Amino acid sequence: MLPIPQNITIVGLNVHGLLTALLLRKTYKPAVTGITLVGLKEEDSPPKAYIAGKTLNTLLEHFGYSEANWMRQTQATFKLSNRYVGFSEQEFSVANASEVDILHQPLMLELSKLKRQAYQLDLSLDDFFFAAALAKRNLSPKAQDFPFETDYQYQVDANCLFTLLQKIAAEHSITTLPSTLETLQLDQHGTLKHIECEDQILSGDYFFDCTQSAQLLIGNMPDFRQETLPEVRINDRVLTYTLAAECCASEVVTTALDCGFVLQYTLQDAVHFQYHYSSKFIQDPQAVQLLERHISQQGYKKVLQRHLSASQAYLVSQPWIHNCLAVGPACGLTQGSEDHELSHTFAMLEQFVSSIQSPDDAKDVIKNYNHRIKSRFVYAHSYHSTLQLLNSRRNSPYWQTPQDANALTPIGRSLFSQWLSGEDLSVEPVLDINGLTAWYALFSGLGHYPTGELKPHPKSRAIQDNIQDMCRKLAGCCLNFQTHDSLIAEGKHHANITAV
Amino acid sequence: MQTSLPFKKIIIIGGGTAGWISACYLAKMWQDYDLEIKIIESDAIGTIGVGEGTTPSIKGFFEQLGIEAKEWMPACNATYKTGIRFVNWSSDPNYKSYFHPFYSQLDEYFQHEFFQNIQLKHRGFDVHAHPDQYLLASELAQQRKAPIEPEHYPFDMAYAYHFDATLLAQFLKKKALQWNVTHQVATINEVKQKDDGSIASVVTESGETIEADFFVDCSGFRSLLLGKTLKVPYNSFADSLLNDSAVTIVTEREDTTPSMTLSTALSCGWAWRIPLTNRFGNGYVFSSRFQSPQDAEEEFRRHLALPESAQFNHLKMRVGHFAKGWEKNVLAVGLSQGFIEPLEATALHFATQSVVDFVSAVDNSTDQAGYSNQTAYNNKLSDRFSCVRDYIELHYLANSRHDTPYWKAARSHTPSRRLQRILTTWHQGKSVPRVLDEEAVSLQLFGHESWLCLLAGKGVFPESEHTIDALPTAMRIDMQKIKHFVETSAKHYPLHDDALAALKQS
Repeated sequence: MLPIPQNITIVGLNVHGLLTALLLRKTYKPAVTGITLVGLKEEDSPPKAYIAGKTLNTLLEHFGYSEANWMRQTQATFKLSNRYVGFSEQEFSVANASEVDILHQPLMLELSKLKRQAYQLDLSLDDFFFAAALAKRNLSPKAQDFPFETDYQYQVDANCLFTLLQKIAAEHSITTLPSTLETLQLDQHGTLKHIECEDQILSGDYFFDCTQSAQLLIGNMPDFRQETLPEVRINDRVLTYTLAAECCASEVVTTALDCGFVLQYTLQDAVHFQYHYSSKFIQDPQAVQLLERHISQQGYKKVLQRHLSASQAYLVSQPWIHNCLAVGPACGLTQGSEDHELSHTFAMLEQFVSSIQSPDDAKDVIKNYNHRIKSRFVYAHSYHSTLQLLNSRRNSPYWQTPQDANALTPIGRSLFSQWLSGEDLSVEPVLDINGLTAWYALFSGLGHYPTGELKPHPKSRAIQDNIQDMCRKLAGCCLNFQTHDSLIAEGKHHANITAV
Repeated sequence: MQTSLPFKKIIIIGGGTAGWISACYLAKMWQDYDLEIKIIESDAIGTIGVGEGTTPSIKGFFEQLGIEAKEWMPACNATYKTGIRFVNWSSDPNYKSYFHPFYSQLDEYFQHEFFQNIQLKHRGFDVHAHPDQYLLASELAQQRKAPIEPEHYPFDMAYAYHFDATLLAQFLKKKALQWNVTHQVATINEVKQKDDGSIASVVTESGETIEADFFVDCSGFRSLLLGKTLKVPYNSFADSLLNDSAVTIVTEREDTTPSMTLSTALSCGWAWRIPLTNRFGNGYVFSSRFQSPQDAEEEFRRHLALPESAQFNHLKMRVGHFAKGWEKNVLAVGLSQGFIEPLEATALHFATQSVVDFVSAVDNSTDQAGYSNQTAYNNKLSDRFSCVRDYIELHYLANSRHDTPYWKAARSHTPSRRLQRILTTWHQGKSVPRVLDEEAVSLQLFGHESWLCLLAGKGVFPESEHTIDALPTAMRIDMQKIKHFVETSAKHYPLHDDALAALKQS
């Protein structure tokens, strides 16, 4: 059994460090557990948007910030779906789960199976996902008297979130030391005894490394090892543009460009474009041209900020070594076409708290923790690499890399094999990452159906009628939902009144 | 498949609800054929006007006829029906009443939870297994709302109607006449048969001989052609269903209109209460073996709190069915074919399904004469009768009243093999839906949910031995969540009276 933390030291003054401090503060009262956060804020922080789940809202509400309030302060908007454009002939959505979907999921499973059996069916799985229907109409996830829950996330401005978290930390007994780490001291067993920061010695029973890719603590622990995540097309650059925007979408759009893909996040008054590309296939100036052309095609003009940075996918072998835990990008980074950075951080800290409560032997608890956290990364990576590998683009050397199903991760390979053989997909999903329906959306959206001679289905008319009826129902349900723009405007209005 | 119709002339005997239902459906479905349809109705023989309550299949029937609700419902003082509430069928105070709903798509949402709690209740856990709280229709009925789906809440709702059967017959008569059905008022004195026993013609009291190549017998309990003339054997259900009489009366409507039928158990049977837009239809179905008509009338009067001066009608019922519904060139529809007491409002379901199945059987016949599916038709009909009989019988077998000899007798006979298997499965806490599927019962009118609602709603469970706290948290159903879901869903539906008013205006 592990001891309850009494003295926690967190290194890294950034969103992950602050979230670590606040999540632990939420669990451990100041009278029992001291929490110190060490670090200097990065100068000229690059523009960045995060996708956050409802756990962020739960945390901020715990500290007295209502959803409308913190969303306004962080320029946040809702996210219901991720729309993929240009990865195959048809664009497709991977939507958040909705309880409405339960009612017609059997139909979706049946029809996707029939289509895989070479029946000629006009089928788009987008039609089956309620959150996608909401996002396509630019609706919010909020409705009055609609008893089906639809899961949603947030698109959050990273710098605004940092400012808010810093403020909350200051109000809730988090000691912040604006200092840099100089050395660290291990005992004979390899346990971290203390760290030294500009003449201060900071001890702790647990140390959290939130220093991102610098890995200042975990990287100096014995047995530290880092794995590279297998990527067929390694994107090593991220080009970010922030532009002024008037209306906000309740979806993230991921568009395949010639040598990578662009993630498009919408915030309250701005839109972020993050172009992940490989410098092996395109030089930076051409990437800028390409992205600017894409942005211009979307109708955006007023550039607020732009930034170019390096990026690399990796994962530490043991995120928890002795009394040191790596949290956030210090633990690993997947080059996701979907952003799981914050959700990984929340999952790590929730798993840590649950580990402390475990009656099991400390070694087993840490082993179990490491296994679970690594599984999350591998699962998220599997989804992304499957998207990359099974795409059907052929228009640039980057995309012409041979599509080899054997290069898929074991999870991706197993699911793709089930898909091709017409079985129901079966995998143990990681709760807050893409579930099974996301895999159906992926394989279907990428067009992995039999080609050649297709069989007419004897009940094709009835099937199309069923689909039409389902679409009518989803469209009817959408009438209950407030538009995304108006809800965000309401939040702004409310914030203004509160300020007055 | 038939490319031409094997009949040139069809005579329908009887101008009650069944007669006009048959006339309309045959005329509509076979409108493109060279076919003469004539209905012969006696002004000397009254109609019973069976069926004020219906099952959801009637909705599809009207749709096939192309008649919209806004057209026929106001003309027949019709109201919407979400289901039936059964009151006082159990002596257990926790199960004083329950609702048998018409199932909606939304009920699927917590179906698993309902089924799970039934299983747990059988294992002695004190969980919530009463059906009412799981079902949207029950909530709509409670709030007197209409089960019609709003555009912004477009989930499939099964529902039926209550209506004035006499007005419906009049409405359908107008339609049938528009669709070229001819009508003759005459009393039939004689039926002539051919050498092979089939019907050649009927002779009216004025001596007119009317020939046809096919006859539809809608002559009510007389069963003039099928029973009296062709002498098809009759299968009586009197051994298992004790009720053979009814006393009826209409009463004034209330300020607001309920959207359900009420079925209240009395001392020797049960009483229905059916809301129409202008009145209530009331009836007490009882067994004359256990109660005299006079005593039944008196008890019913007290039940309805009516004065001594109230005038009641008395009816006798023959419960059972002819072994074949289609014999030679005669199809029987309605009471002439068979009758099961109206506890689940199945009379018009039988009538409409009989004529629908007949048209399908003829259309898909592989012989020129149109009779290749006759045996299959009759088997299906018999199966339908026995399945519905089993379900109705279960109401009595599952009752727990001890107050009169009637109720003790009602549960003391031996059920059919199939019903016995269903009951045994239930008492063993095993899967009733699986047995229903194996017995092909679920293909008939009452699906899994109906059977489970009946047994769970009447509280046919062993005594609880464990509190809910003894269950692992993961197995405890959040009833508040279900309640919230059902109540919030119900908000989307219109008040029954508003829906009826809108219908009238449109």
